[in-house]
Amino acid sequence: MNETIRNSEVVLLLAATAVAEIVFANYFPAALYLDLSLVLALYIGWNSSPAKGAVRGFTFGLLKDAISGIYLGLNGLSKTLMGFGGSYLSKWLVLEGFPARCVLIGLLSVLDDGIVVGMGALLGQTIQREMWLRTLIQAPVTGVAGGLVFHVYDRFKFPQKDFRRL
Amino acid sequence: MIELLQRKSLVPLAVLLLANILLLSVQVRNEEGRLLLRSWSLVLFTPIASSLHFLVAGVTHGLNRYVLLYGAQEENLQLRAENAHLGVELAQLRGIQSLLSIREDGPMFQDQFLFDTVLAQVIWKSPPFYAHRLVINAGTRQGIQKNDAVITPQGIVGRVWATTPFTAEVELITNDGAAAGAMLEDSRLQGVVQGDGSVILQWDFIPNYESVEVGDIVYTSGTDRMYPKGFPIGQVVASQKKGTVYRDIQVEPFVDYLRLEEIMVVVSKGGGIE
Repeated sequence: MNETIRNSEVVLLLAATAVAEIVFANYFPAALYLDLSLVLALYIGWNSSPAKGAVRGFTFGLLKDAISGIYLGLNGLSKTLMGFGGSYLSKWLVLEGFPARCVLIGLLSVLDDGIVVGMGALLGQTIQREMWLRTLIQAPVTGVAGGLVFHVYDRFKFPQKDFRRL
Repeated sequence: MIELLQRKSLVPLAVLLLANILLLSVQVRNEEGRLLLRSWSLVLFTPIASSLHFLVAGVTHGLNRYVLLYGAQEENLQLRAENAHLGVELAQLRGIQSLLSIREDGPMFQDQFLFDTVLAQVIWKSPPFYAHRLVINAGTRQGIQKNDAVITPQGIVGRVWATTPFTAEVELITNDGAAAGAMLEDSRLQGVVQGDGSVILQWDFIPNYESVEVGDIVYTSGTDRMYPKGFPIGQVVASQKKGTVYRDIQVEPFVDYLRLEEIMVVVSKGGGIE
């Protein structure tokens, strides 16, 4: 199992996500089309065991619920599944290409949104009319941004080795 | 613990999913439990939001006060003129107040129109995709309580949803499930304005045979015992007969909730005009 994310790193990423989500919500509402919690839950899940991926996804989800002002547990549930699924996908899929990663993250963004909205509807929340439009915009934005985060973080975590010097 | 559980990776997943579902069920079934959880999350994130607000407000105020002074003189003249008009209106209201105080039933009317407010600044807004809520930098120490009305001079904003000693969470009238008693200015026709999570409000319980035109102004009726009577809510943007008993009426609020910076919380009624 490829265990490369330390707990201290996760705590730092949680803090950074909290600050970013609050800044986005208050000063750059357009940036909310990027589901940063999902991207990080997926990345951490991708580089963790399924159990750790689920636990870490759960914490990112609860953070997003607390900041969003919705029922605590809606994103908690979806991000738990995303963190867990991310870990399994890393074993089944070899996604080194940037476009492939973007497409996968975009599709998972749609699935994640579907879980949150579906659970919300089960709990009596109204499904907003513009929900579909938001999901359609959010999927490619999150997909591309997620691809970039994966790429940059991978370069940072696994710097390319110069084999000519060996 | 994680190391122990990861031998069977489906076990922690099941535990976490169950925890999420339990968490959700506690919030949905128990109103008090939901507020408690929201208050905890408020306490947790308020320092971050307050710090950011302090930083941004400091930079913005510094720029506006010392650098970006273009147009300040015109604005000053405009404010003086507005101040003069408000002085006249205040004198008129004092006259009405004195008239009401003479009548036997005067105090009943005073309770509807006169109230004390606490001015507060918005320090944090929820992402509008999910919930229409915001957090203000005033709480129970300033006399704010749950279900206090939140207003601006342009119209109503919502109600206090949860409180901490120094902050309060406000549910906007556009939030799914939020509602207020409403009436038309001219015909005094009364109904209930409700939010559904979009930026447009629904005005319910208006019979099909009643006439409501696009452009009509909707005010609070005071029947909900929460919002002060006669405060503007919004303007009718669509009104048509439905197959059912009631009309389908949509109201666009006067308050731009995305750009709210300062609001007033109605902390008590019958305070009088100082």
